[in-house]
Amino acid sequence: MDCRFVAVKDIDFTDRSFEIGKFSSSTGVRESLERFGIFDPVWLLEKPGGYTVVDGFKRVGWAKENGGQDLLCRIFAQGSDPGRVFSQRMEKKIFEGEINPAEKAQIIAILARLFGLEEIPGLLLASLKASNRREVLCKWALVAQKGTPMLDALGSGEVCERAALDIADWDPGSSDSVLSLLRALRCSASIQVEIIERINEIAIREDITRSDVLEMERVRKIMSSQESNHREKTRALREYLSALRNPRLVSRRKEVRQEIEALGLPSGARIVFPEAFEGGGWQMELSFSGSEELRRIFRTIEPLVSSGQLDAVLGKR
Amino acid sequence: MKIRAPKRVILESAVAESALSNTLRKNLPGASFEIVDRVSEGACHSPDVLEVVNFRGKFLKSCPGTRRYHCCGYRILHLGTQCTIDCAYCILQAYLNSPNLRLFGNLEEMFCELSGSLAQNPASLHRIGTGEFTDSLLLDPFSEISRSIVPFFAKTPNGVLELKTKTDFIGNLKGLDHGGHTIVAWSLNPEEVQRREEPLSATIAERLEAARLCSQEGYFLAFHFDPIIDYGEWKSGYAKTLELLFERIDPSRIVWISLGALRFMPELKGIIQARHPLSRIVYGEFIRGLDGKMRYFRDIRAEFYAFIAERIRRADPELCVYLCMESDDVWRDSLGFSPEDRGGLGQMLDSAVERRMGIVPPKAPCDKTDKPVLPT
Repeated sequence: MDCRFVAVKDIDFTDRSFEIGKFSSSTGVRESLERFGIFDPVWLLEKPGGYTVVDGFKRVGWAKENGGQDLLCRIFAQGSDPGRVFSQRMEKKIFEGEINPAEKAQIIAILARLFGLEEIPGLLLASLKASNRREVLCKWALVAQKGTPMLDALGSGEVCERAALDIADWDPGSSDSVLSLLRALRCSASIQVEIIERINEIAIREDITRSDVLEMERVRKIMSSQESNHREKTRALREYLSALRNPRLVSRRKEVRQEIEALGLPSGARIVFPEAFEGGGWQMELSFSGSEELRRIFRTIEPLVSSGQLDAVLGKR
Repeated sequence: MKIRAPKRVILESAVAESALSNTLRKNLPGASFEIVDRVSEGACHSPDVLEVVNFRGKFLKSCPGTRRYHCCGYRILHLGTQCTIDCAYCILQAYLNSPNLRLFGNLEEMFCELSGSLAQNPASLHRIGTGEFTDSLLLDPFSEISRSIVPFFAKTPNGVLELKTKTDFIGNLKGLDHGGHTIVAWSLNPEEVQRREEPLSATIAERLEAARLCSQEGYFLAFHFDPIIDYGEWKSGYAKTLELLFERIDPSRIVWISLGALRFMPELKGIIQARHPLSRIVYGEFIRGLDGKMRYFRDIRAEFYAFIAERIRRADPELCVYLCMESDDVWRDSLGFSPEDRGGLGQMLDSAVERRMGIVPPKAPCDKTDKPVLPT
C-alpha cells in the first residue's frame, strides 16, 4: 500500500461501495477535523481515472467542503482484490474501537457480498461477535438492506440487535411500522423482543399480517394517546398484546382478581394466585406493623376462610 | 404407509455379526453395509442412514416423569433412537447429537437385562414399552425385532409389553405367540392434524385398520390421544376420530386410552419454527409448566380431557382413561377424580391390565425366566 498525495478532484465521491455508515452522532469527528485537520491518511483504491474511497468518507467529505486540494492518502493499487482491501479495512476498524450494530450489519452485508455467506473469514466474524450460522448472517444482511430507518434506529441504540434481527425478514411495511413503534416506546431490549414476538405470533395464529396487528384500533389508540408517556404506552401495549396472545389465561386472571376483590380482604392481606394457575402455590401475604394489627387482620380473615367463600375462588382454577 | 428403506447401514464392529445385523442384511438387499469401530456422535443427518451400535447403557429406563405431575410408572425398553416420520411436534428433533436412525445391535444383552429386571420383582407387574425414543414399529419390517420381543414377553408371567406406533407395520406381528402379553398401541389425532403435523405417518384410517387386524390376531390394544392439539375445530375433529375408533374397534379389546395435551421443551419451539414453518402448533396459548415444559393453559387442557373422556365413557364406561403427566387439579377438573383416589396412576393401569388382559403377577417369586429367542 503506497502512501502519497492525491488531488481531491480525482476522488470519486459517488462510489460508496466500501462505506459503513455509523448512523450515530459524528459531531466529535467534525469538531476534531475543524480543530486539527486530518490526522490519519484516508484509504483509497486506485481505479481507471480516479480513486474509490475505502476508509475516511467523513474526512474526504470535510476536505472537499473546505476547499482542500491535495490529501495524503494510503493507496491500494489498481486491480487489488476488493475482498482483501475490505478485510484490511475491517481489521483496522475492529481494532480501532467499538463497532455499533448498524456498522456490524453493513459490514456483514459487504462481507457476504465479497466472500459469500459461507466463506466470510472466521476471524472477522469473531471480532464482530457475530454467529457464523448462515441464517443469522442472512438476517444481518437483510437488516443492512432495510436501509436508513433501520440503521438509524440500530446505530442510535433505539432498537436492539435481537429485535432488528427478528424483524429483518418482515415485509417493509410491517418492519417500518414496528420500528416507529419501538422508537416511540423507548423500551428495554427484552421488552422490544417480547413485543415483536407477540405481534408476530398473533399475526401467524390469526392468519393476518403483522401490519394488521399494528393497525388495530386499540394499538393505534395507545400509541396516539396524548395523556400517556412512553412508559405508560409500553405497559398498555404489552397488556393488550398479552391479552390477544393469551386470551383465556388473561381473562381468567381478570376474573380471579375480581373474585378476590369481592372477598373484601382487610387491608394488609393479599391473595396471590399461582402463575398461570398451574398446580398449587396460592399464597396469602400479610403486611402489618405490629401484633395488634396482625390480630385485627386475623380476626377479619378467619370468618372468610371458615365460611368457604374462598373455595369458590380457589376451586375455580 | 410407505417407508423409505435405509440405503446405508453403518454397523459397529462389535455387533456386525449379531442376529439383528444379519436380519437387516437379509431385509435390506439394496443397502450398502459398512463396518466401523464406533459410530460417531454428531454425524450429519441423513434419513437414508441406519446406524447399528453396541449400546453400552441401560436398556430399561424409567418413564421421565416429574413429581409435580402424575406419571404412569411405565418403563421404557430402549431399543434405538430417532424416527423418520418427522412429526412437527416431535422431541427427537432436539436430539442433535444423534440425528440418524439407530438400533442397538446387542439385543442379547438387552434380553438379559430385561430377564434380570423382571425376575428381581416377580410379584410386581412390569408395564414396559419401546416407543419413547423411536417409533416401536417403524423399522420392524427390516429389523423384525417384534418377532423376538413379543414371544419373549409371552413367557413372562409378570411383564406386559406395549408397542407404540404411528405406522401400520404390523406384518411381523401376525402369527406370533404373544400369549396375551403384548398391547399394540397407536397414537391418534384428528385426520386434519395427522395430515398437517404428522404427514409421513399412517393415516388415522390405516392405523385403525391395523389395530383391527391386531385385535383379530388376539392382541390387546391401547390408544394415546397424545399430543392433543388445539385448533379451531378441535371438538369436531376429536369427536370424529373417536367415532371412527369405536366404529372399527371393539372397546373391550382396549386396555387403556391416554390423553395428553401438547407439551414441549422451550428449546423445541425454534426448532419447530425452523423445520416446520407451516406448522401452527407453537402458536397456541402456552404457559411454562411446573416441569419447565411449555403446556397449554390448564383450562384448555382440562376442556380437552373432559370432552374426550366423556366420549370414551359413552362408548365404554369401564375403559381405563388416564392423563399423561397431569396435575391433581387437572385430573379432578376433567375426569372428576385424582389417581390417588384409586391407589395411584400405576395401580389404575395395573388394574386395567388385570381386568382386560387377565394378567396378575404370581405371588411366589419366579426362579426362572425363559431365554429370549433372538432373530435369526
